[in-house]
Amino acid sequence: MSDFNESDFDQDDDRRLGDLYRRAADDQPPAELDQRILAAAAAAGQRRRSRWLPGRGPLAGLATAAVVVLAVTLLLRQTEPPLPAEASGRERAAPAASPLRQEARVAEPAANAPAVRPAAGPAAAADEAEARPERKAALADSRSNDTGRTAAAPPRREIPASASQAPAQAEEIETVEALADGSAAPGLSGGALVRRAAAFAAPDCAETFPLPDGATLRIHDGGLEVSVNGERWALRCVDGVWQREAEPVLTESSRPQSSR
Amino acid sequence: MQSTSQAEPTDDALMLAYAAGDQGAFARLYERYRGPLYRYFRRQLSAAEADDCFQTLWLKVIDQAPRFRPSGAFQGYLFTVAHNQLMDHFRRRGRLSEVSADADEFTDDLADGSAETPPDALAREELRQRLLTLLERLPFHQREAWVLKQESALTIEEIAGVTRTSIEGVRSRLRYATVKLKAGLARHV
Repeated sequence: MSDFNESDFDQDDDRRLGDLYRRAADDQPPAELDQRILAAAAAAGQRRRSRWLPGRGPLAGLATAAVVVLAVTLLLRQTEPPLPAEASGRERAAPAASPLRQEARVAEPAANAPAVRPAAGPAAAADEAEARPERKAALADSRSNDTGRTAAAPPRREIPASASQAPAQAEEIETVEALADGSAAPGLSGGALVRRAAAFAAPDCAETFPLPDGATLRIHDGGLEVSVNGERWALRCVDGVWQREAEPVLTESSRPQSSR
Repeated sequence: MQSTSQAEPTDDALMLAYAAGDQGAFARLYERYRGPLYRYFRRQLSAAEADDCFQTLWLKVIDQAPRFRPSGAFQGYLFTVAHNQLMDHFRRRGRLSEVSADADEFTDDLADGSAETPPDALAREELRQRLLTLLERLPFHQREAWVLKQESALTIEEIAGVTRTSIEGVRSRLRYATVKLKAGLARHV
């Protein structure tokens, strides 16, 4: 505290009065109070930090569990085969997607139905059973007409997308044989390739898969394409059966495609 | 005490830093306002009551730190909390009527026995006590407005916001308080 004297009061001045007050009133909180408040602040800071440490408290455990469940769900959704067109949210989101992909989903092998098609009921199973003999007949027909490529009505390579035959491996080999223009393809999974093609709904997706005897299967945003002996053929799905187009793709530039 | 300075972080920055876990930031903030806030309470309350209100105020600030949103008016926020704390205290003690009964009219009861004391005999401590006594005798609202003006860097408008009164009301209270203090002190010189 500074000295006071009479001159402090000579000036009729608010500021002077304020100065006098500040010199007179110099109260400070007790040191014990300071320590108590600072300790409380430190303790509150510690509590706030520990509250957000992972694994602490029920909220943290709940949040961790939710994240794990979400991650597993996303993983399962990415690995499972696509749903039918009418049940797939992805199809609804992209209504203008290639019809090839839509058909591929409809023609999904029935063997996978119980696991991936919860919406498929008994009626769908009956339809599938009816379609099986027709597809087999179409396949046999396509093989018997294999030599007539230059005819007015060119033969079409038909690829049954249905896994109706008992051993799945046999069906897949048969499918790949059709894709590869009759080449033997033991061990390759044609059905899986078709499913993979259907799974690539993103418009900029494209992948190439090797087939026996130098043939390749290419999945792109427009559908499927098979290359045999230097020629590339577009594939399309008609009534659940994969068919090769009548004419091969001429040049790369004549059919622009996006590729990854 | 200043909330902004070239070298010193602002009050808002310190508060945010404390909310983010910086204990040192709180210590600096506390150092800035411990004196003014304590004196604000002490001018209205006994030492024990001032201690209690002062501690409660800071515990509120600590508790509200995670929800603090900087607005550039931390000092106003702090003294508003202090004002509310004071009102709560009066309400709990049944002294709110004293506060609301305060009038702004000039009262001539500030002179006491020390008016007869010769100026030469007025020692430093006596003068200090005289000033504090004069302050104590001011009506609550005048005293609060005057102490806020002295202890903080708040503007008249901000004081009006803290005390929930009009700007003109604050000006009037400050005018009355100043006149009374000067009159009370001038009698001794």
